[in-house]
Amino acid sequence: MLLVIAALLAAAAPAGDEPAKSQVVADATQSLTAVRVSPGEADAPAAAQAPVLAAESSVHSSWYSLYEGRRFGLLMDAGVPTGAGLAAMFRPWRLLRLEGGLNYDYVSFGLRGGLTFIPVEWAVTPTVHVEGGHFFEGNASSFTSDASAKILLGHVPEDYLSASLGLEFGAQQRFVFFLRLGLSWIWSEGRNVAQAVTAANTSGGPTTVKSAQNIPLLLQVPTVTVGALLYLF
Amino acid sequence: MENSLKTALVVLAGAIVAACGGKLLYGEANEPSIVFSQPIGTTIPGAPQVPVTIPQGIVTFTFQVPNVPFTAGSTTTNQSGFDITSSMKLNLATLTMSASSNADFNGLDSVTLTIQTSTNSQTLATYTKDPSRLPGKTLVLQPASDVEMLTYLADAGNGTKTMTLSVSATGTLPANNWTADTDLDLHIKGTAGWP
Repeated sequence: MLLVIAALLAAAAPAGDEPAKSQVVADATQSLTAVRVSPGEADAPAAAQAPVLAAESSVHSSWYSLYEGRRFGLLMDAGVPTGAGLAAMFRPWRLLRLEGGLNYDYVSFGLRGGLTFIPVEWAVTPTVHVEGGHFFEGNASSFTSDASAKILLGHVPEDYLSASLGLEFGAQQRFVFFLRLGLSWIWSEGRNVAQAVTAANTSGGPTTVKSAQNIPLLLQVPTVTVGALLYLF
Repeated sequence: MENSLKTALVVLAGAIVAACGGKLLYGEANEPSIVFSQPIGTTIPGAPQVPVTIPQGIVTFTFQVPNVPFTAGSTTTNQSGFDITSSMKLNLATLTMSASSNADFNGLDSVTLTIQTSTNSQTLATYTKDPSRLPGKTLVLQPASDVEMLTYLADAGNGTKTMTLSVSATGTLPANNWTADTDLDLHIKGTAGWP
């Protein structure tokens, strides 16, 4: 019964006609206190939508909101010293892209993972990129002509970490080219040290190498990478 | 919050650049332990079985250090604009009598291994007797201090270097003639940076 009355009152009060509606409510209040709910019901679509819209717009502007654009893609790049790579991309948030895939650096294949921070999206978008990876053991002896160094570099694993600043050109929802410049840190290891030292000392001196641990190697070098990213869905 | 993140990213980028330490190119090779072995090259005659309390020189010999890849031969050099530093320090020194020597080190109370040039000398390693653990034919000397051995190396050609080592001891020296192999367990490190 109350709902029927409320519906009638709501129908009698045109939407947007505030003075009339207020009058109706005031009149209704004198006779039926419960009718207080009726205007809310009549305006339900608008009343309900307003907060939702507000909430949505605040979600859109939040850095932590899940990205609503294309979240998945494929990335190809090539550079020094990380080699060529192919990776899958996932963009959970507007500010952040994750990637994981394979690398090849002429010596061996490896695994890679990276994060790209995208603070703003402009026509040319600046990025901050951090990437790490591991190359499986490979033969890097062709990079040197020195006999002892060839032995050391015969079985070389490699881990790397790079940090770079980049620029991206293109549509962030479809296809972008990027250029990154930064620094890489490479950790590797020289193995078969005793044999290498022996090979380096063929003059036949009295000293022999009784034992030797592997030589940890650290390199810090500039990194340059160019690549393309295709957003799929 | 977004502004804070952006600020953090800028700070991160700055920190990365600062972490370079001013070197755009940098390389480091660190050999934590490589053991070179060389015979003393002479036979030390037996000594009277009378304890000596003043360190007595036993033998002085030249130890040849082979060329080690990724290390330079001196503490600091500049080659083609690269600052190159090298370091060679002792982990352990060991004297091992040959099996044919009818002698041992058990009578020695202390042994000092000295590294020297014509103008300078420094204690490289020492041994002090532990009666509960007699050395037998293998005497292990602990590094005495943080001695930079590269400053004592002399160029011997073919990329090799030599150092002059001297052994002195107190206690009762071996009664019979003896000779030994010297093992030097070294920590060698080299770095190169540019600019």
